[in-house]
Formats: sequence, C-alpha cells, structure tokens
Amino acid sequence: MADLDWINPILIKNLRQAFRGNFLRRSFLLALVVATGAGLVALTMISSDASAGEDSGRLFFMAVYLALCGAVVGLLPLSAMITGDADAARQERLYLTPLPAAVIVRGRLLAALGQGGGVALGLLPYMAMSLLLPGIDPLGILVCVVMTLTLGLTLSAFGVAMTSFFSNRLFIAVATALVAAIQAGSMMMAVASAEELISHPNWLQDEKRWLGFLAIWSMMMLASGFSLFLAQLGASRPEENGARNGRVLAVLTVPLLAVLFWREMYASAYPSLRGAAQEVPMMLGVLFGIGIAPFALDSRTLSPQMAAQLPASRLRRLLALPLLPGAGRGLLLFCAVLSVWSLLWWWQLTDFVALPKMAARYSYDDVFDWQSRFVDSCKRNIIFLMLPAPLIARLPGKLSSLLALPALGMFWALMAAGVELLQMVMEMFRYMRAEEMLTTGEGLHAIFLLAIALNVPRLVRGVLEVWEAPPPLSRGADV
Amino acid sequence: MSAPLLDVRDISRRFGKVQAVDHVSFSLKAGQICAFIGPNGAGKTTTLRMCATLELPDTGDVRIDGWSTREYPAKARAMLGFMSDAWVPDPNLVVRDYLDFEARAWGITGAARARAVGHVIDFTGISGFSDRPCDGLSKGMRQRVALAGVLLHGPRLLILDEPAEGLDPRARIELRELLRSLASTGTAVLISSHILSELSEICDSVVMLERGRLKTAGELQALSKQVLARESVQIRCLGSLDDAERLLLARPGVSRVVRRAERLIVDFEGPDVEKAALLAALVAAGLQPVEFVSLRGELEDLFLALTEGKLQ
Repeated sequence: MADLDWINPILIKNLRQAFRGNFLRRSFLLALVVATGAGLVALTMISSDASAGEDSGRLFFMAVYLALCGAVVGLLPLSAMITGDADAARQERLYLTPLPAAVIVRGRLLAALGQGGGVALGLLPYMAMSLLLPGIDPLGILVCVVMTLTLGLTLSAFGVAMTSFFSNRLFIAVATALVAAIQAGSMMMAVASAEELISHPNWLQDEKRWLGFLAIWSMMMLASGFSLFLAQLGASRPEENGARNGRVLAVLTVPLLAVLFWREMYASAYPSLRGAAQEVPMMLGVLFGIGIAPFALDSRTLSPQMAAQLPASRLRRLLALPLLPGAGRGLLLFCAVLSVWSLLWWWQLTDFVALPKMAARYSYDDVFDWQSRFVDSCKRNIIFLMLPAPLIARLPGKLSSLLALPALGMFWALMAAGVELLQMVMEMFRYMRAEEMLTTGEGLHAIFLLAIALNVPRLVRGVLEVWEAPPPLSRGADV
Repeated sequence: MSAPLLDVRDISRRFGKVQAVDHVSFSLKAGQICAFIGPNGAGKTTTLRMCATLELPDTGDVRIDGWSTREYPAKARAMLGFMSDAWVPDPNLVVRDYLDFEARAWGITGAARARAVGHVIDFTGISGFSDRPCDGLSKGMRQRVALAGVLLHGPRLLILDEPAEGLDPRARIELRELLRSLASTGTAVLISSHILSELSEICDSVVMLERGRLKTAGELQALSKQVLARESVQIRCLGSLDDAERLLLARPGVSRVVRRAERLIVDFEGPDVEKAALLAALVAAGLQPVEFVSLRGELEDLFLALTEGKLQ
C-alpha cells in the first residue's frame, strides 16, 4: 500500500490496524477451528449413523455455517465499531481533516466488510466441501451466504452509525451493547432460517418464496441505507455531536420508520405476511422507544446550528415548531409515541412469529412452537446477552469499567422492566377490550392529537416567535 | 499593521446553567507564541475548542486568517493544527503509517506525501521510533508524534492544549525548542499550560481567562510592566554577601533582600536605569558581581496578581 492515492484513507488505516492487530487474526483462526471441529464432528456423526447419510451435506454445511455466521454477523459489525474511530479524540482528529463525512463512513464500512469478507472467503473451501456430500442444494447455500453477508452489512452499517454519533465512552459502551444484543438475536435467527432453508431445498422452486427472501433482503438493505445516512449525518456535523446523546438516540429511532414503511407496504400486498416481520422491528421499537424516553423531555432534535443552515429565518422558525425537527421536543415525542404505537400494533397480532419464519409460512400453516419459544426466551433474557458488552466496549481505565458495568446493568434492567411493564399494559388493554382503539387509525389520530396537545405551549410560543421576534443571530460576514 | 492570524471576536458558550465562556475577544499575529492561561475551569479548553472549530460559539465568531469558523469551517481548519491534551494513539498502527494516514487525509499524494512525512519525522525528531506502534510509545514520544501529525499540512496556526503535561524536563525543553523554531517560520502558536515557568520562556504574549471571562490579553512584557511594578533580581557576587546585602538595601527601589544558596534575591521596583545603577554600585564597591539576572517569573506573577485564587 505504498501509494494507492485513490483508495479511501480510512479503509487503508483500518485495514492496516486490523492486519497488525490480534482481533482479526484470532477471529479468523477461531472461525477456522470452529469450522474444522464442527465439520469433523458432523462427519463423524454421518459415518457412525447410516441413516444420516442422506442429510450429511446439510449437517456438514450447518456446522460450517455456524462459523460463518459467527464471523460475518458477529465479527464484522464489532470490528466496524472497535477498529473504527469511535473514541471522541480520534473522531475529532478525523473531523479536523478535509475528509468528507461520506468518505469517513464509507471507509469504516468497507474496512469492516473487508475483514468479514476475508473471513468468509477463508471458509469457502469448507462450504464447497459440503457440496460433495448428498442432501444439499447449492442454491440454498448461495441464498444463505448472500443473506448472511447482507445481514452482516446491515449490522455493520448500524454499528458505524452508532459510533459516528457517540463520543462519550459510556454511550459507546451502551451502543456496543445494543449492537451486540441485535447481533446475538440476528445470529440465532440466521442459523434458524438457514436450517429451515437447507432442510427444505424444494422451497426455492416457488416464486412466492423468492419474493419472501427478496422482501427480507430489501428490508435489510433499507435499514443499511438509513444507518449509513445517519452515520453521515453524525460525521458531517461533528461540532454539534458532543454531549448531545439524547438527540442522537432519538434520531437513531428514525430507521424504525423505514422498517414500518417497508412492513406496511409489503404487508398490504401480501396479507399473509402481516405477522412475519414483527420480531426485529418490535425489538428495535422497545429498545429505542424506552431508550429515548429519559432524553425526550429536555433534548433538542436538531440543534440551532443545524436549523440555522436552512435558508430563511421564517422557515427556520416554522420548522422549530412542535412535531417538526428544529427546536426540540416535538419530534422526540413523536418518535417515542411512534415507537410505543408500533410496538402495540405488532404486539396484538395473533400470528406471532419470528422474522425468519416468513419463508416457512409459505410451506407450513402451523407455527413451529420450539422456535417461537426460543425467540421469545431470547427476547425475555436479553439482559443476559448484554453482560459481555462492557468487555467488548473499550472503556477507559479500570475504575471507569467498574462504574460502567453497574450503569449498563441498570440501563438494561430498566429496559427489561419496561418490556415487562408494556406486557402488563397490553394484558390490561386486552382485558378492557381497548386494543382495537390503539391499533386502528382512530387510535393513532388520538395519539397524534395528544402529542400536539402536550406541545400547545410551545406551539403558541413558536407562532409568536415567528411573527414578532427578530432573527436570533445575524449570520452575515461581519459577525 | 498586519492582520491577525487568529481573531477571536466576542465569543460565548454556555453548557446548561454554566457560562463556560463569556464574551471573550483576543487576537494573535503570525509568528507569535501566546500563553493561554487561567485557573482550572476558567473556560480555556472550551475556548481552544471553539478556535479549533470543534465547538460552535453561542455568540460571536472566530476567524482564522480571515476565514470565519462559522461560515467556512473547512477553510479555517486548513489553516490550523490542533493538538488536544487527550491525544489517543491508534492501536496497532506504527508511527509512520499513522503519519501516512494523516497525510492521505489531508489530500497529500504521491511523492509529496513521502516528503511531508519524512520532513515532520525529522523536524520532530521521531525518526528513532517511527517504526514502532503508536500505542507503545511513552508520553513524550506520543506528544511528538501528535505534533508531527498536526504539522503535516503546514498549518499557519497551532493550537496546543496542555502539550507539556506529563512530560519530563528534557521532553519539555525539546518541545519548547520545537515551538520556537516553528514560530520563527511564521507559525502562530496558541498554547495552554499550567506550567507557567515553561510558558514564560517561550511566549511573547498572554491571554488570561477567569470564570469564562477575559482577564487580560496583550504583550507579555508590556503587561508585566503594567501589572507588576516590582520584580525580582538574582545576584551572585564573589565578594562578601553581607556587604552586598547592606549596599543593596541602601539603594532606592530595593524593598527586600533574601539570601538563597550563596545568592541574593532582591525585590526591586523602578525603571531599568536604576536597575543598571544597582549593578554599577556593586561593581564600584568591589563586590565582583558575576550573576545579575532578572528572574523571569512574569507569567506566574501575573497569574497570581490577576486571578482571585478561587476554584472556578
């Protein structure tokens, strides 16, 4: 890499760091060891059990897929957060250079993809080996690998977005914990989906099932796009990011809108899929909805400087009104309300199945109880998934780590308590037969009206400001 | 009269209920080294960060070589190099690669990049450890690497936040020499430090903050003369110290003489002509003075004279 002036500098730096460090090397070795070990176990089982011969390809592939999933879904997003310049001091150093935000974000994502892709390439020979065994469809392998790489891309983009916004180490730790939790859930779902897919290779002969996969893939790409957009937003206004984590958390809720949009659009076209996409958005809804609540009361959504970029002072002031980005609480409240509403919407659906079951639902009318229970258990015990998070996040000094651990525990405990509370509330609504009101257009309108009512004082003040007050600060050349 | 390279105009910054910086204005010309001092919590770091475009002032503006940090932050950034007190080394990256990355980030390409990296490595004296990982360096080495990193694009203004903190005396002296040679090339340096004796050695101007407000700003010597009527002179004679002490106490302007390790520390107040007469009197009395040094503690004295000594 002597010259290569055309290559993204962040990509070069992060890859240099990754190749010189131990993280990538050890992860790669671990993946190889897991793939080799699991493959050997699978082969031993196949050779000792004559009846397993027909399924030997599937067994072997699933063993290798575990390693692939761990590397691509686990390593890739984590390396995007850890190898990247998550630290406030390093972020600021980057922001002082003329590198555009897009280059910074792209470089970090490409570096993560490069590392994850490298590990995946290392496992390709193992996957090719599974094709030598009977009972496996090459197309199924291809779909699994493509979906897994897309999932890795989505989680990496999410990780990059998180660390582009946060500069406070505790918030980085919390963000890492959030990504780790989503990673854990995603890995479980990916493995479950792959198993379903590989077990039923004839699924892929149906056009509808391809549409199902396309829908999942497009949702992941949509979430990636939004995450990257948010990452660029964070990286392009560095002077406004310090100590504004509440605002950032709220802004990060916006991807939920994308998921909601996708779901509504797709579900209206395919009514049978209505329940299929609920698990991931519901988790996001709970995590962000509750996460932003403490900040929603006194944080700004877009800072005055951001609003000041708008061309006319009157437009600026109009945008500062409640329920619009600009001055504060309106959009935050809107996001919180939307989170809760979407949560309630998804919660009340009777066909409560996990995202990967979308494809399965075409072939099976019943729902696999074991998988529902498994996903449900993961959701309920999410707090335990968070425990390794402080180890993953690079916290400064032993004392800070010690302080961060109970703080994180408290955060997630509160979050889990919030989930339980919502469940109780839902039970109450069911008892009172009030769920229809909350999950219909009328209910939504009522919630919007309530949000507006809560903002009436601001609304009045905002209108008065627009027409009476002078511009806040002259931005002419002589300021 | 040349235009200021750094022009801070009436900037303020509030964090919640705390007014961190309150209507501060000062300026800095090319080639000047300015000490930026104040008690803890006076708003120094916030002001420096606003100068470095990392924070936006609530009111007012900072101009670097005429470019407003509000309107043209990218142009302003191209003119400045900011070295934070919290420079964090990139893990698993050797010094040369770190500098190579910084140069790439500044858009320096091809052979020019290799030249720029080589130049800053030589200038900051880090060639001995340019192939070592950044995170394995000592504090002094890290400071040099950090300085090399901010010098790569040839900034006209250097903003250094506590660069001497944690450095041993040798490293401090070396840093001082580096800054002097930078100033001699026309680079303006705004440097914040609590080690005032170090700053006294290199700074020609001073900006002092207290409780977020500007306490004083200007040329160091002029301010010293204005604020500090009295100065200390250190004298060593080959003749009798008792005789020298008696003679000095009899001279006008001398208020006190303290004996310290075969030397006399004289508190003197008066014009330079009378100070010269003091030396002449010692010579005329045959006391053979071999040292006659005005103690350069202006910054410390200024600091003590102007600040209230309360926690901010």
